[in-house]
Amino acid sequence: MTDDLDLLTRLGADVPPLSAEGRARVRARLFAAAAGTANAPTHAESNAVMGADGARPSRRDLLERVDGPGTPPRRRRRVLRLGVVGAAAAAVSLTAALVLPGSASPAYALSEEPDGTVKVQINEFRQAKQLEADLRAAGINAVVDFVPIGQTCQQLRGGGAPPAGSDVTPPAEGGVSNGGQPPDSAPGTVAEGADPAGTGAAERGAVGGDPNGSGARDRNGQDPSGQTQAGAPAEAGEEPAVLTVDAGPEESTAFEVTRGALKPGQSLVIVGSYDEADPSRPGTISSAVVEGQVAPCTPVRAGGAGAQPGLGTGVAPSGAPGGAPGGPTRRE
Amino acid sequence: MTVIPTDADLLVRSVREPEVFADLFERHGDRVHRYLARRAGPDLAEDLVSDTFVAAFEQRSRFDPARGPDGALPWLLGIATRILQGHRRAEARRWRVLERALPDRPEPAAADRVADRVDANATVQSLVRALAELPDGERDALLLLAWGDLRYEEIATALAVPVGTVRSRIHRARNRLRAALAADPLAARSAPTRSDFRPFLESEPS
Repeated sequence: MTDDLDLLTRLGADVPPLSAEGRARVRARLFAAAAGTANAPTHAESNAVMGADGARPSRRDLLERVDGPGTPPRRRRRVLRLGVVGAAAAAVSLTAALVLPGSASPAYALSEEPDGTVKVQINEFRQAKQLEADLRAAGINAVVDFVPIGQTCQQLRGGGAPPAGSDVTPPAEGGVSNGGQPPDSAPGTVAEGADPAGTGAAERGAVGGDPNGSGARDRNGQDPSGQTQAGAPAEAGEEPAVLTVDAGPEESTAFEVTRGALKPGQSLVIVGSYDEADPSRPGTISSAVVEGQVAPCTPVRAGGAGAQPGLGTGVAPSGAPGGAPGGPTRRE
Repeated sequence: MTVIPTDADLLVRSVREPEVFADLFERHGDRVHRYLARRAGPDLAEDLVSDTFVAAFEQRSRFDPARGPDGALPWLLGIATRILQGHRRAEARRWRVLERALPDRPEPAAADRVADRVDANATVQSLVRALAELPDGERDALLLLAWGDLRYEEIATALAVPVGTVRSRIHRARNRLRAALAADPLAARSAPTRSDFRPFLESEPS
């Protein structure tokens, strides 16, 4: 006597599965909700539907509860604050954070701001490829690698495009970056473009001579003798910075990327160098804009001809040889 | 590598780490989608899946692990069922589509004659009409069983009613469907309905 149920079970069983695009859209909405920014109408409706636990809300309930309080999730201190996104931007807002097993806080937090920037806060230098994937999902064609301090990725990873990038380093870290650097030019921060061997200049963009000045800009009020001065046009704002190192909360490394600053075919190469002994210590971020394909990172010893002060020694104190006079100011 | 966290673990963690909630979607998104697509149609299903998971996210702190020993799916399908309340017109449209649709035959039998098709069509129409006329509670329970693949206990969790209520709702609903099938004038006119359907119904294990 199961014919009615059998028939019913087969009825309409040929519905198509959730498509990959649909899945991505649902995920994006879910992330938006996680940031307290769920799409307004459905958000309200959901609130209303869930308002009466288990009870069926009437249509009037639905209307009355539209303005009911959502419960914005409380975030941990070191997790980037994600919530401040207007309703208009909510639909496209997406946040992601990767939580490491057994770790108290996410390795990093990524959030899309309504002004088109994407903020990333790195709490621990791990999961570079996951961050890369999240940045790509946020519309930024990024290549992310983390290498221990004292190493860097090989030079010339791209198609040899004109210089368009430069390095940014939180000044407190004593200027650890990827390239060899003449000790006199940017003591606080080191740009690989100044690599004495000259190998990186073509694609990385020499800080001192970047004609576009578009790569990155240190927002931390770098002292004039430091990188900002070397990367002359940084403050002039003739072109938007692609990547900006942010003054994040203490004990973290944060940066933001401007969406749309990359032209089609360009990649933003991000190299984070970190303290191997303690990946949660703040590290430095270097970036460059590269045209065309980007070769995978092969870690090589940093420094090249002139061993860079600070390289290989972890986070250099501000008074380290070559440290910018008064340069490192960010770290509390 | 490590112990796979239960749904309840994930939900508890997601209260403080909202991003963990995405794992629940990875686990159950397809089942929830299938249920919603069968009830409200494929076009609307994606939106309803979003609504369901956003709603679930917002009340994740109210999930009672004791009530969900079987995982979060019954809870999620319960939320989906409540979301459907706001989309009755879509469900009605879906019924009109189903009325015209023949259920998949497990194996195209030799008896696949035109007359059989006519009978099957008539029977499906009767079934869908009876389904449409069921009281909401009975229909929800029946469809969580037939289309949500939930067990009685899970349906009770989903609808937040005692399992005895689920039993009686499904019992009543099935009585109504059977009555509708038996009373189907078209099927009755062309042939004794039951026996005509035997071959096609028996090939499915029950």
